[in-house]
Amino acid sequence: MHKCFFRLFVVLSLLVSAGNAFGLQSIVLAVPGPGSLVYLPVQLAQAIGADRAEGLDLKLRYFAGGPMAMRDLDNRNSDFAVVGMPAIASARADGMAVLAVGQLSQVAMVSLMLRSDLRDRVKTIAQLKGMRIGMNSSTRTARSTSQMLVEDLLARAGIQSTEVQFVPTGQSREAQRAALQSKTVDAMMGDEPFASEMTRSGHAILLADLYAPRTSASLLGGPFVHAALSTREDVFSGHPETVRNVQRMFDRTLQWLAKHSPSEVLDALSKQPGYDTHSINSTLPVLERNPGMYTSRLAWDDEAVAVTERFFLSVASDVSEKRLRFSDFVRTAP
Amino acid sequence: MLLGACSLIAPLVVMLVYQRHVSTLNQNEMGVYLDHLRTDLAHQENIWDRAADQVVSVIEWSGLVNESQPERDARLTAFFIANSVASSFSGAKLTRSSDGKVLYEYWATDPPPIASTVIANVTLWLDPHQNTLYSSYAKVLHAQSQGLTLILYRPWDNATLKAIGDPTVTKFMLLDRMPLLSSDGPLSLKTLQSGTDDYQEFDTHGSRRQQQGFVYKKVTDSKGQQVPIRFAIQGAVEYTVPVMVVFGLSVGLCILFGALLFMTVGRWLGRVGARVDYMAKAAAFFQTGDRPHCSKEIRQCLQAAEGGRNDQIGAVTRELGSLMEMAVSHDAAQKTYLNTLELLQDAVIECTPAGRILKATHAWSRMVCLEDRELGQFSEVVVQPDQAILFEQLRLLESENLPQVTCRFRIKQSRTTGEDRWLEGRFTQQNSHIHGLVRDITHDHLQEQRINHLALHDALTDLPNRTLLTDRFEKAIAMASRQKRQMGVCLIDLDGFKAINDNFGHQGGDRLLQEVTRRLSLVIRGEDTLARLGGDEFALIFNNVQDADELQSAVQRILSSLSQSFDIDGQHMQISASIGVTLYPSDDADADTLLRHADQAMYQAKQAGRNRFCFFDVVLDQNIRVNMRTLERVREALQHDEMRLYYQPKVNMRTGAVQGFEALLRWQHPQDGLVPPLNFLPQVEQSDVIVDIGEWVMENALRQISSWSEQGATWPVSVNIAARHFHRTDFLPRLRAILERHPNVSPRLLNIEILESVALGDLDAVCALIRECQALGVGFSLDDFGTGYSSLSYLKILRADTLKIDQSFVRQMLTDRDDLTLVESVINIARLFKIDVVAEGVETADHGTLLLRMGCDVAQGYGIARPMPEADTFQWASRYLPDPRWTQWADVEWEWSDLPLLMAQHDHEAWVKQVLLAVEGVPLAISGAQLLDHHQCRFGHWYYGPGRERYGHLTEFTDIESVHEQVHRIGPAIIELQQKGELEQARLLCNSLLELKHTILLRLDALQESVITISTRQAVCA
Repeated sequence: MHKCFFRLFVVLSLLVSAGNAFGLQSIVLAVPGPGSLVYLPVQLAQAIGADRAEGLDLKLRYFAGGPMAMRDLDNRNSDFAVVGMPAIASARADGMAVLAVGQLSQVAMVSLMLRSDLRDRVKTIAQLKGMRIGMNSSTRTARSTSQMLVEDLLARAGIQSTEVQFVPTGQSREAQRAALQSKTVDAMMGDEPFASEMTRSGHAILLADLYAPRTSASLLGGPFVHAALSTREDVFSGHPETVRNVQRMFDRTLQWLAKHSPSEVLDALSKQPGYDTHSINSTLPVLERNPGMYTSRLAWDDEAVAVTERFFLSVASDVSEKRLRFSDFVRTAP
Repeated sequence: MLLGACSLIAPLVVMLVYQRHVSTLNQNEMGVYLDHLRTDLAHQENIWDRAADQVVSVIEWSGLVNESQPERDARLTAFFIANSVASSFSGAKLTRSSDGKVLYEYWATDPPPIASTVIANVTLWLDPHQNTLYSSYAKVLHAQSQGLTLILYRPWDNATLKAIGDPTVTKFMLLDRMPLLSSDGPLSLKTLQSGTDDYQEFDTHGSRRQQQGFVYKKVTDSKGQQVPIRFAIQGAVEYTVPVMVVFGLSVGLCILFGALLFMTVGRWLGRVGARVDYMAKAAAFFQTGDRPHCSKEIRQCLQAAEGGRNDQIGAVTRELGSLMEMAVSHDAAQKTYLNTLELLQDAVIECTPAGRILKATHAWSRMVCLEDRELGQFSEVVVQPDQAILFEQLRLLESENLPQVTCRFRIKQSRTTGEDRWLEGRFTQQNSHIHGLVRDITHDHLQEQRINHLALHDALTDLPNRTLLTDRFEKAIAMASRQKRQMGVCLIDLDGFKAINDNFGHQGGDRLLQEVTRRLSLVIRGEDTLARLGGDEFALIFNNVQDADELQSAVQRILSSLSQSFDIDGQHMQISASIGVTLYPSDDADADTLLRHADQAMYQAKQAGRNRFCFFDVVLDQNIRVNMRTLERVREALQHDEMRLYYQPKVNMRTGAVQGFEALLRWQHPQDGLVPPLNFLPQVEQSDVIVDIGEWVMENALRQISSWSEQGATWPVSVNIAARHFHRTDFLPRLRAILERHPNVSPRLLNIEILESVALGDLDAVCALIRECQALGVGFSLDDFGTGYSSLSYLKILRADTLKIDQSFVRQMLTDRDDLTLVESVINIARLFKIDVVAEGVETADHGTLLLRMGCDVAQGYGIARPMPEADTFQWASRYLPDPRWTQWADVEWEWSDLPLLMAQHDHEAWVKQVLLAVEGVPLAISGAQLLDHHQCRFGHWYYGPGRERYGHLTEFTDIESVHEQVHRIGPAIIELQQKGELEQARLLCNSLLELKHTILLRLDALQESVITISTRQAVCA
């Protein structure tokens, strides 16, 4: 009799476990990409199964840039987004009820490319005045992190943002190549690995490269929060357990990333969209050359937050951005 | 308590009503939202269409599509990327209008698997992999690029949903039942309820929400099936006032209302209650007391209840006082009435339907001899058998709703007289009780009984009279039928009673009858009925008789008892009885008929010598009845000319001449058709109808002879005359009269056939009559000769003109040697006495051949002709030809010693026929030895016996033996095959057997020819 009950208990337990395995919670997350080096941890989380380990089924929506991803978040096509911290701040200043709930990187991962046929005319950033500069994305009201970084670079070179024309060029190899080939842009803010590919293919040359942590820190004054996890306020308050699960998922991913070599990371990503052989070959040297671009845990680095806040305020374009304080929307856990 | 319950229930009801009301309002509101959403969807599509137009305008204006292909594609891509945020189109295709070929394609994300050739008019398209729905807009580019179409794709996403309709409600888009989008983001998809089209409310995360949806459009899924796209909206159920607040307010209001009610109405009710209580006390005093008119306590209570007020309670109190006064006066009147009833001799009672007596006047106690005022129950005083009757009547009074019932019943023996007393009660029902008037009718009842007894019983013997007997008879028959039993009915008549009356006077006769009654009562059972019918006749009904033997024993006892001498008043009397008995239902008749049958049987007993009994013969009675009916019917048939004469010819087989006809009677029955004489003549032979028939036959036969004479034929006709007719004393004069009525017919042409047995009756008289008839010229034939026992001397005396050999002998003579011998003997006798002989029953030519060889030339039978109507006779005679074989042997006279040769031929044919029949399943009628051994068959007996002895020297004879031996080889082989079931083989062998038979017959014919030749030669030599 007791044996029968025991067997029944075991069978029921197995059934419950199997039910849990199939009952994953679906999470939709907006992210620029695919294949963008800045947001590598996002696709890595999917690739190594960190989402399933936390009971989540991560679905990604790719966008040309952070502002579009934030707009997608605000439009409730997604409940989470991983974008540049300044883009989150810009969206917040733009009135979106969004929060930043985790830091994924500590380097301003951006480069500035010049169309190769202009190499003779333009030698310094200051010579970009009056030219059209391609950005992965841009909106009228919310600027991308890349755009802000480029504006900062331009400002440091003495060029006001109004003195150049920003043109969205998308977040894909083909789109950026098309922008350069068609001479729609003269220069272009480049995300890796596209920047490396453009320079290698001869479509562009590098004017500036902030991927090296030391370069970034020296330029911006310390670690910089580039990729950050964002969600809406209603999700943060209405689904706290889900938010915590997502945080644990990225925490698990960042730990895994810190413990594995670039080639192992790219092996894991080899089946992800945007990571074909071409991209991997371009990405691997960047990763090997610049270790420490990502944080090892999903935890706020107060210094990085402060540096980023200062940076944001320095490039703020309107009053709402100037009044914004990061403490208004930076959260740790619900 | 009631107030508390109301305080709880009423708020709950209010809360539920409020919830229902809010739900209805919200449902209406959802309807408004849905209408708004539908309108907005149409509006939004219109906006997107215009946006697509704007994109096309920009492209046309900027001349992007006029560049060379690589340049055009790069510029278009840059254009779409640059405008992607503003235009919100995520994909575009540039196609050639003529064949739909895609020239350029842009997608902001991974391109969905849209077919390269695009159907331009598709407006909704589903990406089955991503479950993303697109609206497509196909626009023809007009300006510089003739023949190009630009298709723009706009994906449906949560933002789209959020942008349309009411922003305060959550909107969902579903692919049939599968949620696709939610205006509140992907996480909110979990809150979507199934059954999206119907309005529903539900609780989620502690709040109450409502949902309703509709089908928007249909889209083709990956399987090519049309799947509906649904929209559903969800919103919070808004309560203007929270439900619990409503509940709380309701509770508070109820409590407040209750308190107010208690303070105002409660005090008033308390005063009213006190007054009503006084009224109740007054009523209680009135009920329990001895009803003195308004005692002190009652008056005080009534005054307190009235309270000096002129309200309704005061009025009711006054009415109650009046009612009490009326009740008191009514009681007084009732008492007076009851005192009056006590004066009656008859009892007035009131009882329940179950018989319990509730009230009764003193007369009842007197009737039933109970103590004064002792009531009891009917079951205690009414005798047992009458209780059922009484209670049944009381039950009927209630169940059948009868106005009244009356019944008589006895009460148990009086304590003083010891006799039962008869009472008659007339009962009626009032409400649930029964009221009755009971009267003592003992004296009247006994008088009635006495009168009834006298009406139904014999005064002398006190036995049931005929009236009572009839009644009991009917009951006894009914019971016997019901219980499937037998019943005996006896009618007893005393033998020699008249002599007793004559010798001892009527007084002595009466005393004897009383003693007979006593003896009869001693020998019958209690269940039997003995009745005196009158005089010395008694009837006795034996109920439940096992069989006729038991009844016979009982009747024998009666005879024995009555045959013993009676000693009455010193006088010795001796009588006996004749008893007629019948047994029901063997004699299945009514009471009167049974008595009549017993009377008939009793008469037979008297006839048979008295002091005995006779059973009524049911079969004989029935036969007599049938015969009587037949007799009557035949008499009517004669009157109605339904009788017919058929004529069977008698021919001379040797010459082929028609010798005459035998007239045979037929009845042309209107319903049954032609009836043969055996069906009706036996029934009328013993009546005078047979005389009428005989004379009718003679009349018609003579008429027919006359008719034939007129046609040139002189054929005598023989008619059959029955014994009764022939023995009538007036037979001769009536025959003479008949002949005289046909003077043109020679009496010699009339031949009267009488049976041999008829002639044996009174030989002298018959002989004289025959001679007198012969003197008139009429011929006589003895019919069916051989069946009687007449001696040769009789034959000599009778001097009949013709002997007719009975057809039974003729028919069997081919197979039965005894019959053959008998036929041959009759022929020889006739030849001896020089009397003509006619053979009846000639059915085949073989019969005729044998008769001819035996010397009988004249014959009749089916082998010659069947009886025929007179209209056919002339024609038949003109066409008749005798059988050729008869002609063949016409001139040959056979010696008797050669007859076995003729018989041998038939024996052989019979043997072969038996074998052939056996093949067809008829049991073999010859022994094994006869089958196997050619010496043992009848033909063999003849062949190796008298045949060899007489014809052994002839080669025609010896030729037969080998063939005969073959016959006995094939015959057993056929039987063996038949026994094995190989019938086909057996039938094949039968053909061989028939050939052998034919050979033997031919050789026998040759032998006969040879024999005749030798005989003729010897005769000539002689």
